[in-house]
Amino acid sequence: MLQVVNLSFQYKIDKALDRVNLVVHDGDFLLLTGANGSGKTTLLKILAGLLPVQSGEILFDGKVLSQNDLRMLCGYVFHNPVNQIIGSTLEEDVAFGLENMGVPRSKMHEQVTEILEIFQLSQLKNEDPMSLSAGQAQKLAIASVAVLKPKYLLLDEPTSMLDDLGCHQVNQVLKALNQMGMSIVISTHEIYQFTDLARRVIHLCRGTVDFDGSIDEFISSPIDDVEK
Amino acid sequence: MMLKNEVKKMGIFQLELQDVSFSYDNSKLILHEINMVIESQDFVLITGQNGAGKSTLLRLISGILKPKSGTVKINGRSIYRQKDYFKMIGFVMQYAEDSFCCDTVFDEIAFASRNFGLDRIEERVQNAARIMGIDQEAFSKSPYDLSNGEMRRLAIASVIAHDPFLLVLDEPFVGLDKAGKQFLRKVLENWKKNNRATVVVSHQLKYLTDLANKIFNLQSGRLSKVDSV
Repeated sequence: MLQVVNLSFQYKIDKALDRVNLVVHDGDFLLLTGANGSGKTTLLKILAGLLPVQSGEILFDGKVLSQNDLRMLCGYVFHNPVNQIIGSTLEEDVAFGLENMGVPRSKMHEQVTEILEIFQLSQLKNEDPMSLSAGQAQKLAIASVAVLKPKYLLLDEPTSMLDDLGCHQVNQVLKALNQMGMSIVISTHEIYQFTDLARRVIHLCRGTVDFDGSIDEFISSPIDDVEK
Repeated sequence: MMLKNEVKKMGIFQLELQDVSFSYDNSKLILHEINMVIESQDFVLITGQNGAGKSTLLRLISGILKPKSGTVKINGRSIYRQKDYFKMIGFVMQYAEDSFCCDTVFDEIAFASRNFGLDRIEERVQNAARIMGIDQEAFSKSPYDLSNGEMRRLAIASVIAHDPFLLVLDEPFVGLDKAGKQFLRKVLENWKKNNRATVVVSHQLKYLTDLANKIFNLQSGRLSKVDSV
């Protein structure tokens, strides 16, 4: 269980998060939503260890986590996949994280092949990632993080560039990863894309949590700044 | 006379793609013999699946890429011989932050206008910010400290400031919340009323179909005109 306690964060000028408290349970499929500037991306980046915990704390099974602990526990998929694509082929890109974790070559090949198949990217494995369409690049970015099997997979608007087919494919993959025990947290403005999968919604308003409940409760709530 | 002044004076803007084909690596064609005309007040919506070639087509329209064969002409002349073609185009990329290059929101909005040697920079920035709903308090912020939706609005303000004739928008609704999408829709409506042209690639069709007077579908690099989506 990942527990966020009184988390606050301040950029140079703006306060992005103000005493946020929330829990991500094991196996959760959680949507994080709210208007532009409400703090969604900042929260995800702190959980992923990309931004420091300035105030408050984050605990895993009761133990306070350092920024480095968070990096090992959570995988983060950027809103813009190009921000995290490094390899000169899709295969290299997916293998990058595993290689850095010291996974043996034969095992690495097996895992890369498996995840490329799951994401239906096998045919493109020797292509340059920079030649992919936005939708394909978004799938590659998720695959490259999912292959590391993080306990918590955090995704910032993962289907925003995808067509219906792409959304369906990504949702199927996220469903499978969730069933394998990975907790999924998605920042999105389009709740309706995940209604079949998500169990909980957290809504942020100006850096504070003002809703935490089931997706059905959220849909019937008066909150109307996102597309339900 | 410079092209932009000529278009302004005559009030005629016509961009024509004739048999445009494109390949990134000379082996596989991404676009096949595209023909398309964009005129003043046109609102062109391009749909298609991921990987169909939509973003490549927008880069060709914007003059960032050159076709392997075929021509792109503005008012009958090749865009590649018109030094001020870029002054007439406002191209917003898929990912807003890809276009940022300044330390502050103000400088980002002013960037293109300054580079084009335009006058009234302060006024242009204020006006573009007002149109896109960017508060003056944000002017001193780093563009990278903004939320995804705020970045999107900044990217559009940055190209509106130099007053182009054609807005080219690649997935402009991505990252915007519900209010932001409704706001942008209103901006695009007003843009059209001001006799300006727009080309949009988007999956968020419900905000655009009734605005569009030309709808194209791109499938495996081949463009076809459709009545509705």
